[in-house]
Amino acid sequence: MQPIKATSATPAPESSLKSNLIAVAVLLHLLIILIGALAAPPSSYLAQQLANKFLGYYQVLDLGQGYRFYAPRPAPTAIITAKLKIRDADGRLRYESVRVPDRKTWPRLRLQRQLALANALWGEYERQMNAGDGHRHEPVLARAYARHLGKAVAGCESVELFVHRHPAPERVEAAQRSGQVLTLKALDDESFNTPTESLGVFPCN
Amino acid sequence: MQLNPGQILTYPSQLVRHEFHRWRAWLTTPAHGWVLGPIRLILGLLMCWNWLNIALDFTDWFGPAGWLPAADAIALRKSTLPWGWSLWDMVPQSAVKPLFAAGFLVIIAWSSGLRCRYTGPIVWLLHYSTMRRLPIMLFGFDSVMGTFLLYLAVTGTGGQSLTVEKYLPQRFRSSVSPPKPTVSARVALCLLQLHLCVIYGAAGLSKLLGEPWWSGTASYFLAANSEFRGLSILESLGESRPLMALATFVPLWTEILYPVLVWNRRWRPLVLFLAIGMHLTIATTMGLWEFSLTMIAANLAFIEWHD
Repeated sequence: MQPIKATSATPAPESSLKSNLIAVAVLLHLLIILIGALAAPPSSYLAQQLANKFLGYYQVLDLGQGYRFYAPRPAPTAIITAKLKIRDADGRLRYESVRVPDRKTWPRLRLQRQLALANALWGEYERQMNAGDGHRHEPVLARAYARHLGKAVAGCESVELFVHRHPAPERVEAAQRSGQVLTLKALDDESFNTPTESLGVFPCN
Repeated sequence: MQLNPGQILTYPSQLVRHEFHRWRAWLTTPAHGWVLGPIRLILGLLMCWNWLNIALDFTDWFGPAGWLPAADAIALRKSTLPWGWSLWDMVPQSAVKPLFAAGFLVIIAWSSGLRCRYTGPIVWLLHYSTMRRLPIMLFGFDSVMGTFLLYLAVTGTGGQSLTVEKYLPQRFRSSVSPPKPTVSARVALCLLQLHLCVIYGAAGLSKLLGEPWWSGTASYFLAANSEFRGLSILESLGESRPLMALATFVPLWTEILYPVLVWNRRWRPLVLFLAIGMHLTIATTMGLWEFSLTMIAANLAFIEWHD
């Protein structure tokens, strides 16, 4: 920050109670968002404890993000496949699949939101898997999304959600180390997917 | 230099007092804030675009059989974000569509620079409430947009330039023309500048935890993410290790050094050039146009400057 020199074109700064309050308020705000950024994992106990004091501020104003984009390493994308079990009016059973994200989605902002949805479902599943004994996490998001899909299809009996991630980092790393030049078409091969896991079977209603 | 015990004891208080005076002078020197007009216009157009996209999936966002019904969204928020709130919680289902349409009109008014002191806070309320209504659909664009909208809203700025108000009769205008320098415009610029430094600093330093950002291969992992559906540079990076390393290290060090060098008058043009170049690359190769344009708009805050 450069020192400010008042010139004829630059009005003089205020030096009143109001300007003191502005200076203190902005300074506090800056410290609070810095603490929020420092408290994202991995972080120190001190940063976490301080950030906990300002949770209300962060949540009311939607601040306090860690801004750790693609850190510590670019992560593969979660892809959700929903398998709908449908019983037709004639009693025959059939299955339909829905992929999230649907690559044909346009405009692209809607595709980005589908990526966020798949990521949120993966995140919920990961929290369930990592929860210790006695900390059961209900699959709220997965159940709501399955219900949303099921209600759109007449005769839907159940929806099973699956997740895999793409591309598997170790496969990309192996290709890169061996000097193999990958193409997007080559990446579509199933061998670049992580193993598929089931998020559960959910009723349509 | 000779120091006596008295000076050592008074040094901390003198330092704090001196730096606070500089900080206050920097924050409260009135500014024209003419650059806030283009920033508001870009953010406003992006908000219009965002609103139109939400409208395409309206029933999925707000319907009773949507991606996350209202009751589930409220329960989820109460358990994860107890201080979070959304105005949509109070809106009966039958009124959601008319209010959504009215919200679009307010966003258009704000984008046009109309009564920004009043329309700005409403646009932020709409954005915040909508994002909290469906938190499972959010990504970086929503987060940075919310922050930058907040700063324009709390300072009541954005209408300093590029506003339709100048075409209206005098009695419908909210400010004198041309606008006088104000403290609120200065505070808005400073808040945008400081927050950008926090974003880039945190983004850059956190990458140093990962091996691919040291080995120069991170750009390859990003390009290999075929779901982004942007302009692919995967093959070019795979064929050239120096290009791969360059595509990793240039954005990494731009982010790390941004909070340090952007305050220096000589380095500022280069830092802004690199940051804007980084965002345009992210937009074209990863398809993250909305996020990138939002960040580019905020970077304009560094164009209006005085030393």
